[in-house]
Amino acid sequence: VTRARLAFLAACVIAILAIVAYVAMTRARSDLNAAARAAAGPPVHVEPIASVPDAPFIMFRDASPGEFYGRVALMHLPLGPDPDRDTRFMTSLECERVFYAAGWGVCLVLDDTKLPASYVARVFDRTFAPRHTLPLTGPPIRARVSVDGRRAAFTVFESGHSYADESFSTRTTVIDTASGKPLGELEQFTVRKDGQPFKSIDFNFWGLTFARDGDHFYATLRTKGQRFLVKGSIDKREMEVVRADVECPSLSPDETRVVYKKPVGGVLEVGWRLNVLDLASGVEHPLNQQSRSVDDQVDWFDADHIVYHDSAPQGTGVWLLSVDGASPPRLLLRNAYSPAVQH
Amino acid sequence: VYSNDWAARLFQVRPAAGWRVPANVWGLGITSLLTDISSEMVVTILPVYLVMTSGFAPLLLGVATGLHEGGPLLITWVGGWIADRSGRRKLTAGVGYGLSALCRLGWMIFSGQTMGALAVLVLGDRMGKAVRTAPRDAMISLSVRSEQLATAFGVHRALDAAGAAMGPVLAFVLLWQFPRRFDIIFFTSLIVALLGVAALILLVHEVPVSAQAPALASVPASAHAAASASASTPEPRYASAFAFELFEQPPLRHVLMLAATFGVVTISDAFVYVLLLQRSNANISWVPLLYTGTAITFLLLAVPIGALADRVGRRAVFICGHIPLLIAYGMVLAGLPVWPWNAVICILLLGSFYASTDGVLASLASSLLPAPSRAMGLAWVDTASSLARLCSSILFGLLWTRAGDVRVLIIFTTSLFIVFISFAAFAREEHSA
Repeated sequence: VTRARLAFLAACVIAILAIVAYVAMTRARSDLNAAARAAAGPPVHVEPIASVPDAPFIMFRDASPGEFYGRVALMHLPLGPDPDRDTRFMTSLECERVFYAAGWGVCLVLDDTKLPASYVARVFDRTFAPRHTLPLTGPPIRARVSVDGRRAAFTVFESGHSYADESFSTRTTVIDTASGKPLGELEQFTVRKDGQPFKSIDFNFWGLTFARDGDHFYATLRTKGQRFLVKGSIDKREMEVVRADVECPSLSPDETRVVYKKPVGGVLEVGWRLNVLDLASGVEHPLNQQSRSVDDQVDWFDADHIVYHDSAPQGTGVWLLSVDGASPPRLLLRNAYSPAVQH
Repeated sequence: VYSNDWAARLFQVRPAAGWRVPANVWGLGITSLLTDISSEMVVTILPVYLVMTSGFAPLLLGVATGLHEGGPLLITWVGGWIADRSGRRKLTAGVGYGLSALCRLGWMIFSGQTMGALAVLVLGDRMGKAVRTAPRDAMISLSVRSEQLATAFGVHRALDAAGAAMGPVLAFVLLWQFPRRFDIIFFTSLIVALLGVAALILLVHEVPVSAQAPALASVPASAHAAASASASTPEPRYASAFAFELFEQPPLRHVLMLAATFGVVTISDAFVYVLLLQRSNANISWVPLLYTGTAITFLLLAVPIGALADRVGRRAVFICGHIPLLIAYGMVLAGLPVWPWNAVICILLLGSFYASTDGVLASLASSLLPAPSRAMGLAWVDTASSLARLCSSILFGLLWTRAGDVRVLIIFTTSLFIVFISFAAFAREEHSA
């Protein structure tokens, strides 16, 4: 018995040594991920950047393995023929979800500098300097800034509300970017459906998209297992149900169309198909996203193309897709996430 | 109802069989402690890891959690069956611990890979846990004298809870020191899991079983070492493969009913915490701390309450263990004390609930099960109570969305009260000791 106990003590010592050795070894090798990056493809050319350029650009969260993982990066538009060879300008920001427009950006991130770690929203300016920090109540999923930069909206996932029936709960907050003050949560706004007041305790909102005036918006409302597209006004704190089966809308720059994801596969929600809806006529048609399920709030790249994140077998990153419904998607930026296009 | 004799037993300073439990129980406890540290480390960082490295959708997170919580229930029962059939409880438990350790190795290799690979690893870990539960509990019960059963389970559960409390803390400290180095977490988790297997091999010995009357494994601890050297006692076989004849004993049927009935009316911790936080308008990020607090209360109370159960009766302690739960539900419902005091009280109440039900139920069942079919019987009890809790979670989730939080709380609190009164009224104390 004593010999066995001694052997166990020895095993404990070896275990501690093994952990220490592992940490020391992986640290000594200056960059463990360098090899992986080299194997993954051509090295990305990286340069630091201290403020937002005046020319058009695409901002995103860099997800390439290595020291810049999680950093907010941007690339000039138009992109070259092989965008993976273009320079990625690295900012000082680290975000999990990012969006930017007209001098104001919003960065949603896990703040693990103090325990317990919590999610926060940081409002930053054109020099990437954080201006305001707001606490979040759960992991962030969507972020938007209005075209004029005046307002920002973000959605977080309220974890743990109910996992048993797979219904999750979300919270969407609108803030004033300059002051950092919340203007309200969509759950506090009044909703009408077919002209009648519409209200239920299980209302969940997510995926807000701003109109050009920074006041009107579209968003998703979910209640009793049904999803609706709502259109509303932040100033009037009200909205109206437009149609059913719409999730994560994104309003086109000319405000005539909305690209959204439509749940497919019934109760189990096995995936989402992207659709484009003509707001004037109410006619919608699916986009050619091939066999992939896309779970993102897309952004408009130009008048006829959208960008979104997908981890397809051909590559994880930001994909470009035409809204014509015929052309297939194309991997635009490898290892990039949360795209925001600034014209 | 109770005589002075009961009070005399309660206030006796030393437990009837003494505080000391055999080395085998400690060995199994240390194995569980290390395995729990290893598993909780990964479980804690899993959501953050998935969101940060893969941008996973919340729905997939829900699926991952569901896989982890739901788990393969029937595997428990297979573990118990094999352990009893072969008589090799240590080996069966070892396979379970080994499988979980293997999954840790998988995390090292497949980190950053597809969702499918990760789901398989989570599922594998849970299968390992399910396989080892029954043979491990059987070994605990067979290592001690029957009058010491609940104390021994208390010691084991205290060490187990210590692991559950330490795992997340270790993960946070590591992530804090080495930001984003998930590989260090996975490596540490693997090493700790292997150490758990080493603890089982080196500190635990197989308990020989002879066909005896229920709960007469009263071989003194010192005698085990000598006996294990020649552990070739022939194992008896059952008439039926699944030991259904166990159900012919009324006391065991009663325990199964007790476990299942209370399980159905018990609200899952996750719901209790979320309701508490929601009704206090507190931040959801406190949830992990509430779990840790509950685990600490559990580990502090497990041994004293186990000793108490050995003295005043395991069934009584198990039933009365639901009183703190009733108080906790009532408190969440009424929203009486203000944040954070309601959380502190809730932690203490839930911790004492676990301390007086978890190990106590296993000891109560063990005291009624014949030694050769003990793992199987314990697996039945475990399956019954897990299945009941799963039903409770689904029921609670459905009712919550349909009827709202206040109504669902009232329904569950009332049901628990009725179940409690019914079992307490039909007092049938076991006199197995």
